[in-house]
Amino acid sequence: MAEASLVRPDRRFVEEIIASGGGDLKRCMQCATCSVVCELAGDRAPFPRKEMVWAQWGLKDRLLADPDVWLCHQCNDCSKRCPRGARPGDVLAAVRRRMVEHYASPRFLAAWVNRAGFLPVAFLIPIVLLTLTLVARGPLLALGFEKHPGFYAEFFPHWLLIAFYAFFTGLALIAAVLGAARYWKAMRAADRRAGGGNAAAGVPASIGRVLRSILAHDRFAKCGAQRPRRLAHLLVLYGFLALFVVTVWATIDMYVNPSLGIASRYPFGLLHPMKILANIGGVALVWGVVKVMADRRRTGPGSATSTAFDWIFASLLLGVGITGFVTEVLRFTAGPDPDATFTAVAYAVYFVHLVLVFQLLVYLPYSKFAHVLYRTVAMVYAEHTGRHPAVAPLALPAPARARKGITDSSSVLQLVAHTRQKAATR
Amino acid sequence: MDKNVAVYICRGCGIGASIDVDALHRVAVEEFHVGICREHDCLCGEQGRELLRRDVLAGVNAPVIAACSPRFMTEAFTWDGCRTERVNLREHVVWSHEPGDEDTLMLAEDYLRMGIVRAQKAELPEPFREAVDPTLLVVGGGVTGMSAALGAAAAGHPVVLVEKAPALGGWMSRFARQIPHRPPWRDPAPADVETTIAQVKADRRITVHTGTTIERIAGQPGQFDVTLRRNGDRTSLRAGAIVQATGWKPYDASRLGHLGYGRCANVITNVQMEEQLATGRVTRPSDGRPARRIAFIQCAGSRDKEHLPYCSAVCCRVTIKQALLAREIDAGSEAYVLYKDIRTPGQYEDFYRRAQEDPGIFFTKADVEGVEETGDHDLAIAASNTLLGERIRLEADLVVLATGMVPAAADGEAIRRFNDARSVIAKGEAGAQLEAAKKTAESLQHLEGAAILNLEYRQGPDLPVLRYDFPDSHFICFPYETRRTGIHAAGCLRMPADSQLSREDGAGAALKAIQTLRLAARGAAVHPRWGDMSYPDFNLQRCTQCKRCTEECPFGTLNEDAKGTPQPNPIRCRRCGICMGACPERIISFKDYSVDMISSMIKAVHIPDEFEEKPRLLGFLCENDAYPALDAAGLRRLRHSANIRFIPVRCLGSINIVWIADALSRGYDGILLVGCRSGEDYQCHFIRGSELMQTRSANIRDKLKQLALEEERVRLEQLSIDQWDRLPAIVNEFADQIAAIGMNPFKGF
Amino acid sequence: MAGTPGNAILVIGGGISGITAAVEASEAGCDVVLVEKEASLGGRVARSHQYFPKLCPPQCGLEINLRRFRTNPRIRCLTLSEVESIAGTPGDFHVTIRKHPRRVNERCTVCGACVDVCPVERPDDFNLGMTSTRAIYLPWEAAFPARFVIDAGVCAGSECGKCVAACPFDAIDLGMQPETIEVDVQAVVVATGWEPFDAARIDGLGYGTHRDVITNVMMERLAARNGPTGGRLARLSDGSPLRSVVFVQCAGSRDDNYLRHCSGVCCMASLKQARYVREQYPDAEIHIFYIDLRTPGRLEDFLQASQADAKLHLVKGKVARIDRDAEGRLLVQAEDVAAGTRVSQAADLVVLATGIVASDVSGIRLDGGGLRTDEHGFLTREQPLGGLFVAGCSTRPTEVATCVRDATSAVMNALQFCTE
Repeated sequence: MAEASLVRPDRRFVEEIIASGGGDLKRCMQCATCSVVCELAGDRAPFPRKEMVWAQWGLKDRLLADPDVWLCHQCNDCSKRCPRGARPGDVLAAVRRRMVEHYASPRFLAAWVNRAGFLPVAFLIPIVLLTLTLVARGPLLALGFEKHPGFYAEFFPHWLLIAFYAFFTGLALIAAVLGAARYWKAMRAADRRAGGGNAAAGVPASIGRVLRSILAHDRFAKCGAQRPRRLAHLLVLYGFLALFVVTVWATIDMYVNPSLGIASRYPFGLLHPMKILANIGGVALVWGVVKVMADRRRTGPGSATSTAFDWIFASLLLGVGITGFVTEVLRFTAGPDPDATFTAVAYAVYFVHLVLVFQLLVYLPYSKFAHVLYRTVAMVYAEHTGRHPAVAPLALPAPARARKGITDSSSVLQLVAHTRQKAATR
Repeated sequence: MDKNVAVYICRGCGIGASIDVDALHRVAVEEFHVGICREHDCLCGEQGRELLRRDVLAGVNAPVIAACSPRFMTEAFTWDGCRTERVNLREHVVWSHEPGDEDTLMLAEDYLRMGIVRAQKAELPEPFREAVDPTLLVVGGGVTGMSAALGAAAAGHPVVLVEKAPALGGWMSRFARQIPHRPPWRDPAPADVETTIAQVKADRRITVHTGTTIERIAGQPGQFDVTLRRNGDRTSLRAGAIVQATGWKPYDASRLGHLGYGRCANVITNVQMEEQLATGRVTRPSDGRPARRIAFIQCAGSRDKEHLPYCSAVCCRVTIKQALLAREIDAGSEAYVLYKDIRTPGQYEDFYRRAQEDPGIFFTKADVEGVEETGDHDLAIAASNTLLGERIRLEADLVVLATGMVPAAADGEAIRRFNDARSVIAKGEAGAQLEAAKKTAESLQHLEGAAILNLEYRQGPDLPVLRYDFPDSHFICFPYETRRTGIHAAGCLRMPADSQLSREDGAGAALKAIQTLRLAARGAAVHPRWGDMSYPDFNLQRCTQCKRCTEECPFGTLNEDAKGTPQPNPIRCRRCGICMGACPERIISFKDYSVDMISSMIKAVHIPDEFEEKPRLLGFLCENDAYPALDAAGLRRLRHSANIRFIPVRCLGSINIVWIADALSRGYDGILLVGCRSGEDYQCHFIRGSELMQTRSANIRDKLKQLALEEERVRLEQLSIDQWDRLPAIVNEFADQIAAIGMNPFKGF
Repeated sequence: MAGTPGNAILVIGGGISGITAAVEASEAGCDVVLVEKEASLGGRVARSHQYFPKLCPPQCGLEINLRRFRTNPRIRCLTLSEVESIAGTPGDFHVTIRKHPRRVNERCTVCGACVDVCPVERPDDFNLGMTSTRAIYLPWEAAFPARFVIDAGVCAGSECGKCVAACPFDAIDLGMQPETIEVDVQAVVVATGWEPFDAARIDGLGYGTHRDVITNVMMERLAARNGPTGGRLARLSDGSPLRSVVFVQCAGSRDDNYLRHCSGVCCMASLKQARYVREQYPDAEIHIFYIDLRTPGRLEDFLQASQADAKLHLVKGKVARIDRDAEGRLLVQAEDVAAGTRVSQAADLVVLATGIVASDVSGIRLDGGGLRTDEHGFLTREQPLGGLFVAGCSTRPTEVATCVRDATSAVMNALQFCTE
C-alpha cells in the first residue's frame, strides 16, 4: 500500500487560481465527465478531473509538478459538458499561469509582465536600455566601429542592434532553461514518489516526436470544437518562425557571407526571396493573431475565459507585426534623401518596434509566451515517460446462461406478438 | 330480520353463450327452493338495475348476483340494508373455461350453490357502537409531536400533549439554525421552533403536560384510559387515539473510540457542534482556543455493520449547515468534509452547491481509518480511498463526528418476553422452563424500565418494532399501517428524518389517529378492511384458554384474564379473522364470516363419485391478492382446470383447519391454499396471516397422516397480485399432480 | 374556520399521492372530488414493476386503495379531466373542471367485444409506446374506472363505427362531447406528480439513436408481466439475451445543463432494476456508474445486500459518452474515479436513470395567477392561496412512501377548513 501523503489544504492558492481565471473551480463534484470527454487525456490517470480536486484543495506541489496541465489545449469541451459549470478548461489555464510565474526567475518580472498595473514598468526597461544604447552609439562610432549603410542602420547600426538583442535574449534563454529544468525535476520527483516515471522512450527521440507533433499541431487538431483556433495558432507559429529565419539569415548575410567571399545582399530588395518570406510571415502572424483575439472575444460555455495574461501576449504579437510592417513601408517609401520629419517619424516607429520585440523575446519566460517552453517540456516528458497511452475497451463477458431470458433472437415486437399469442392459445 | 334470498343470473359478457343458464336456474329453484330466481341479459344495465331495485324494495335483502367479479360494478349491486352475495361466473368461469363444456357448467353450478348457501348463512353485520372520546394523546413535544397536536386541534379535536422534558421543542429548540426547506434552498434557515411552541401554547384545544411521563394506558381506541405521572402525582384522563413522537437519541459516540472520541479532547459529535454553534463560538475543548481547521467525518457509526447499518439521512445536510455556520462565525476557519457519499436529495442539491462554492469548505470522498493526537491536542486523520490519493493524512484542530440517529423507542414485544420470563421465574416453574426464562430475562435485561407508553396489552406495553428498533410500518404504500390500532408512531421515532419530513409525518399520523376515532364512532373498521362493520363474536362458555387467539392476533386486540380467557377489545380489531382461524374450539365468528359458513359452502359443492373420473379440488384464495390475480387471468382468458372450486378468504390466517378436515372427509381430492408472501418482506396485509398458515400446515400434515392420506393433497402457495400468469399454471399443475395421486378414498362416505 | 359549511376536498391527480389523499380524506369523513387527466388512476406506480426495497408489486397496494374507491360513495372520481380554475377563499373554493369525452359510457362491462373489430392501432402510452393497442382500449387490466376508452386522436369516428355495432351493451357513444363541471370545495390537495426527463435531450448518451439505450421507466415496463415482453428482459434491437447491462446514474439529474436537482430515487431504482436483471440472468455482468450513491435511511440495507453480488459492479464516475463499435456493441465511456482510469464498458443494454420532472401545472388558473413553483419547477409548499396544499412528486422528487406521507399530512392540513 502506498505511503500516506500529508494533505495540507492551501486556501490562498485556491483563491489565486480563482483570481487567475478559474472562478468556478469550487463547484466541481468530481463526476469525471471532463476526463472522459477530453480527447487528449489518456486512459491511465486522465485529466482534468484529478487536477480539479487538487486545485479545490489547493494542493500546489502536485499541480506544479503535473505534466497534464500543459497537455491541455483548452478546447473547453470539458467546460461545455461539465454538469456543475466548474469550467475545468479555464481552471487548467489558470494553473498554467500560476506555473509560469512560479518557475520564472526572477519571479518579480513575471508579476510585472503579466499584470496590467505593472505594464508601464515592464515597458520602461527596454525603453531605457535602448535609449542608453543609442546614446552610446556616437562614442562607439567615434572609436571606428563600422558605419553600416541603410535607412535604419543610420539610426541603429546592425552590429549594435544584434549585440544588444543577443545579450538580452541570452539572459532570457538562461532564465528559460532554469525554469524548464526545475519543472522537469519537479515532474520526475512527483512520479518517483508515486513509484512511476520510468523512461518509455529516450529524451532525444521524444523531443523529435514532440517537435513533429507541434509542427503538425496534431494534438490541437484533436480538440473537437476548436478547428478555427488550430488554424489561427498555426498561422502565428509559422509566421513567427518565418520572421525568425529571415532575421537569422540577414545576420548571416551581413557578417558571415562576406568572410566566405559571398557579397552581402543586405538590405534585401522587395523581390528578394527572404523579403518575400518575411512579408508572408508577417502577414500570417498578424492574421493569425487577429483570429486568435477574435476567438478569445467569443463568450459561451465552449469558449475560453481570457485574462490579462492572454490579452497582453496577444496584443504584443499584434504590435510587433504591425510596427514591423509600418517600418518596412516607411523604408521603401523613403527617397534617396528624405526630409527630417519623415526620418523622425520613421525612426520613432522603428524604436517602438524594437521595444515591442524586446518585450516579446526577452520576457518570453515570464509572459504567456512561456507556453512554448513549458508545454514543449511537458509534452517531451509525457512522451519520455509514456504517459497517456490509450487502452483497448473491456471485452464483453462470456455469453451468459439466460434463466428466463429469451433464447431465440426475435425482436421485442415479435416477443410481444408471441406473448399475446400465448395468452390467446391458453 | 328474516332473510329473503333471491338469485339473479346475468347472461351478459358471454355467460349466457357458454353455459346453460336454465341449469343454473334449476339449481336455485329445485335444490335451494329460492323464491325468486331471475335471468337477465345485462344485470348492470339500466333495466337490470331497475329490476333488482324493485325486488329490493319488495323485500329482497339477500340478493345473490351471479355475474361478474365482485371487483366490478360494486356500487350497481349495493343497497342499504342488503347484504349482496356475488357469484363470479364471468372471470372465474366463462372467461377461464371451455364454453359449453359440461365441466364448465358444473363449476358454475357449484359456485352458485356456494353463493346461495353463504347468502343463507350470512347476516348483515350490526356495528359495535360505544362512546368514543375525540381526544388525541400526543406523546413527545418535539416538532413532530407539536405538528401532530396543531393539526388535530385545527381539525377540531381536543389534544393532550405529553413531554417528559421540562419544556417543549425537543432537539430543534437546541439548534441555532436548520437546513433550508424552502427555495432557494441555499442558506441555513432560522430553526424557528419558538413560533410553533407559541402556537401550541396559544391553542385552547391543546393541553400541554411537560416534565410528564405515561404510567399506564388501558382500553382500546376511543376509550383509552391514560394515567400521567408528573414527579409524584398522577393525572388520569381519557383519550381516543395516540400519536407517539418520542423522537431520537444520538448514537452513543463513546463506542467510536477508533475515531478518537473519548481519547482525543478535540473530537466532538455533531450534536456537541450544534451546541457550540448556538453559542456563536467554535472552540477546541482542550484549550478553548478557536478552532480554525475543522474536519467533519461523515457516517461516524452509520452505514457501518459494527454500529448503525442504516444511513441516518440527515447528517450530510447537517454537516453542510454546520460547516457554513462555522465559516460564517470565523471567516478565517476552514472546514474539511470527509464523506462516503454526499446525500443531498432533490432540491437540497443546491445546499451542497452552496457549500462547495465556499473556498473555505473542502470536500473529499474518504474512508476514515482513524484519528490520532499529534501533540498539543492537534489531530491527524488517516483516510484511504480518497479523491486526493490512496492514503492521506489530514491535520485538524477539531474533528466533528457526524453521528447518526437512534430511535427513542421501546420494543413492546421484547419487553413482553422479558416480563413473561420474569413472571415464570417468580412463579418458580419447572427446571428447563426456568432455565430458558432465566436466559431470556438476562439477554433482555436492558429493557428494564424501558417502556414508554405502558400499554396494558397482552402482547406488550409498547409498539412492536421492525429492524433496528424503528416502530415503523412495513408497508411502502401504507406507511401509517400500525399493529396497534389507533396508535401511530411518527417522526424520527420511526425513521431518520429532517425537521420538515418530521412535521409532515406528525400531521399525517394525526390524521390517521383521527380517522380511527371517526370510524370507531360508527363502529367501522380501519384500513385495510375499511368500513367493515363486522367484528368477532366469542362464545366464551366453550373456551379452553388455549391462548392461541390472544397470541396470534397481529394487532394485539385480545387481552387475557388471569385464567387466560380472551378479553375482546372490538375497537382494536382489524377484522382479519386470524383468531377465527386459530381457534380449535371454533367459538369465534363474524356475522358474515364464520367457520360454519365456509364449512357449509364446502359441503354445498356436488362431489362426483370416484367412478365419474371427475376429481374435485378446493382452493382458498386471499381476497386481497390471489383473488384479483385470478380475475386478471380471466380478463386475459387464461384457462385453468375446471375441477377446482375457489373460496375467497379475508386472510389465509383466517383458515380454520377444520375446513380442510371437512373437505377431505367430504371427498375433495386436493386442497390449494394461495396467500401472500410471508417472511422478511412479507406482503400479507394482516402482517402474520400467511406466516401463521405455514406453521399451521404442519398440523395439517399430521391430520393427513391420521386420515392415511398423501401430504401432497394439501398445498400452500405464495403468490403476489401481479402473478396472474402463474396462478392458472399452479392450478393446472396441482390438478395433474392430484390426478396422478388418484382419487380421495373417502369419496362417497 | 373560514368559508361555507361543508367538508369537500378537491384532489388534483390520480397517482399514488392523489389516490392516497382521496382515500384518507374520505375515510376521515370528507367528500372528495378527484380529478385525473388520464383515462384511469394509478399514474406512475401503475406502470412500475416492483417497489423498492421490498420488490413487491404496486398493484397490491393499488388493489386495496381502489377497493376503498369502489366501496366509498364519498369519492367522486373524474378521469380524462383537468382543473381549469380555482376561485374563492380557503374554506370556500369554486372549481371549474374540463371533462374530455371518453366516448364509452357507464354501460361498459369490459367484455372486450369492441377490440377485435377496431381497425385502428395506436402506440400504447401505458407501455411508453413500446407496444400498441386499438383505438378503443382498456388502459390496463386493473384500470379504474374499469371501462374502455377511445383515443379520439386516432379513432375514425362515426364513418367507421364498427365498435358501436359490436358492443352488446350500447356502451359506445362516438358523439360524446366535452363537459365543464363546477364544484365547490373547502380545500384543495395538488398531487399532479411527475414526468420522466426527456432522455433524447442528453448529449452523448445515444438515447433515440441506439435502440439498446433505454430509460429506467422503460425498464420498469420491460420487467413487468403486463409489459411489452411479458416481463422478459432482452436487447431491444434483436431480442438476444443480456450478457452485460450498464446503468447510467444522473442521466440529466444533478446537471446544470438539464436538471439541477437530484431526482432522489434513481439510485434505488437502478439497484432494484439490477435485481430484475439478476433474477433472469444469473451470470450477467452489471455495472452501475454513479456520482454519489444515495440510499438514505434503511434503504441502505438494499445497497448492502446488492454489494454482495459479485457480478454487480458499482463504479464511481459519471458516464459521459456512449459509443458503438463496428459490431454495434454499445461502449459506455466513463472514468473509474476510485482507480483513476478511464473505462470503456461494452454492454448489451444501457439503462439511463433519467430524472424526475414536475408535471406542468400551468393550465390551472388561480385568482390572480397560477400555482407557484420553485426554480426547479416543483410546487412550493407555500402557495398563493391558503387552503391549497401540495403533495408527492409535484413538490419534490421522492419515493412512494414519502408521497403517501405527504398526501396524508396534506389532508390533515386540509381538514381544518372542513366542518364535520
